[in-house]
Amino acid sequence: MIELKDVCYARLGTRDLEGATTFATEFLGLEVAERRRDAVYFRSDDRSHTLCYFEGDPEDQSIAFEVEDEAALIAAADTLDRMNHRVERGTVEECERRKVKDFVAFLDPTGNRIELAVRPERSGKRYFATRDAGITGFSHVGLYTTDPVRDEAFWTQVCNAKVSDRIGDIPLMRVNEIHHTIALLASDKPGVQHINHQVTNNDDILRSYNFLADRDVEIVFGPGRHPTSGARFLYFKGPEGMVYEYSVGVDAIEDEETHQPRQFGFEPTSLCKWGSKPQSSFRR
Amino acid sequence: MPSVDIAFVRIATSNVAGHAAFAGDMIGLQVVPGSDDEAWFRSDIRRRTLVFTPRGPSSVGIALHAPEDVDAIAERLREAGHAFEWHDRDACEELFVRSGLRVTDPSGNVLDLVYGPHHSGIRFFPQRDNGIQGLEGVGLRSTSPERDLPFWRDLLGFELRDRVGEIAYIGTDALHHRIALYPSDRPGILYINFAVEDLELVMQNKYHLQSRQVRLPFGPGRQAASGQIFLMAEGPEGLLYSLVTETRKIDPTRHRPRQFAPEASSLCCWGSRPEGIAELTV
Repeated sequence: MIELKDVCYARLGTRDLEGATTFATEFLGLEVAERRRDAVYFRSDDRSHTLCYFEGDPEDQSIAFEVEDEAALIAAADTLDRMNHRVERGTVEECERRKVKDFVAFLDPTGNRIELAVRPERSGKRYFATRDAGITGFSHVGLYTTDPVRDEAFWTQVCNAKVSDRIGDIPLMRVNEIHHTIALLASDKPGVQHINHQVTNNDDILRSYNFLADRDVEIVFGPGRHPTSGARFLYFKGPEGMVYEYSVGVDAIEDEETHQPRQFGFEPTSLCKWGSKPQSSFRR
Repeated sequence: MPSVDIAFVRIATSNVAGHAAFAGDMIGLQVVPGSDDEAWFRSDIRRRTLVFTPRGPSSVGIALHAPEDVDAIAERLREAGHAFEWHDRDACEELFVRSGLRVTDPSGNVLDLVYGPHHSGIRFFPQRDNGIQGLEGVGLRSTSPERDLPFWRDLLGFELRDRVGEIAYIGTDALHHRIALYPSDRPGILYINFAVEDLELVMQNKYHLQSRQVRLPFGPGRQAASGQIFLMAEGPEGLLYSLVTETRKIDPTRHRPRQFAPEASSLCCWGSRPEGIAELTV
């Protein structure tokens, strides 16, 4: 079984690196860790980077998860190989571009590019945001799936994810005590549906709601509260259709032994217990 | 400094039915039966906290916790030569209080200083799950908060807690404020604060009221001076219901009034802006 420790970074291609950088800093509030000619690295916490926009195709997206060590990486590569998932070992140059010691890349059953990384760099410098959004760090992602049942089996049997709850066919899966690190949403093709950063408190959610709406950033869902994880949330549109989320207060699964995933019907109150409804642009 | 509660709000109006529909169906307050031409509601353990009546004037009921406290106020009013009237037995019965007097502030707001507002043996049960816990305060229009302040402070026993521009927050106990005075061209009740359980309920109310086409001219927001989270809903004739939570407690022995800048962020530090309310536009 592939043991995922935590989500690590997201890499997104963009046709407008300048615009994406402006969004990531002035609106989202991340800190620029490093600027290169064709890529910009952003921080959200004590990691060296958690988001990288690079010049390229917006459909070229990767999500990386950290694994324990080199041995775990090799074991993971082996597992995937034996299942006939094509696995690519990162070259020295590619590792450098991701600020990791080593990684392998493969496609999940839907075709999302997933990277397993070892020894991702941490920064010695404290995180300092570009705007006071209260961000405490990159926390989880939503991924599109062309078959939720098949992909849930992949993440929970080939990898160590566990389903915390389901909304209709959307499994919310954890790899540690945090309610979810991966959410799967049905679509006709692969892609990252949303990128989540945790913020400090409810005030941050409401403040950002007004801040972003005042600047004509499209609010696609919220402010609201998920009945599944208990988190208060806000989803908004970023460059090239990416949805970003702020949330606070994601439940921890205290008792691994006894937790049973709940089944919520696929209706608005399952996604928000306050009564907000997602816009059509929340997902494909 | 004796602490007070806001015991009731009476709204004189020719549109009792319209107000009653809003207070009951939209806000979800509990109907109190007992009148043919007035509409009565409650919001907590007290027998009645909101009245819509065709017979004027409008008034705000301020409850003192001992009859001596009302007497002391009467004494100060008398010495200051400020006119007031004790409520006779019939008036007390009508107001559902044990005793009280009526006085008008320098702007013209009518206040009932009362002792012993009636409690009910029956638990409060709202018409919908609005999370309302009780009547907490009021916002009043004032033709000059600065001129009015000595009346509230020296005669009624309130303390100035903070200002935003000329807007004054006043209180008597650890709660940051129960009454706020807003510069206006006339007296009147601008808003009624109902405490709700927590932010959860404020947000649930926001989406519920929005879906019922209720105008929400201000909030969800958080007042800088008091930390109070609020959501204002507009009822008939511009009467605002403000659903509030997290109003800060302060130490009355140590708190010194601060002057907040007359900027929108002083009235809401989350960035929401009031729409179409002159008194809230700084």
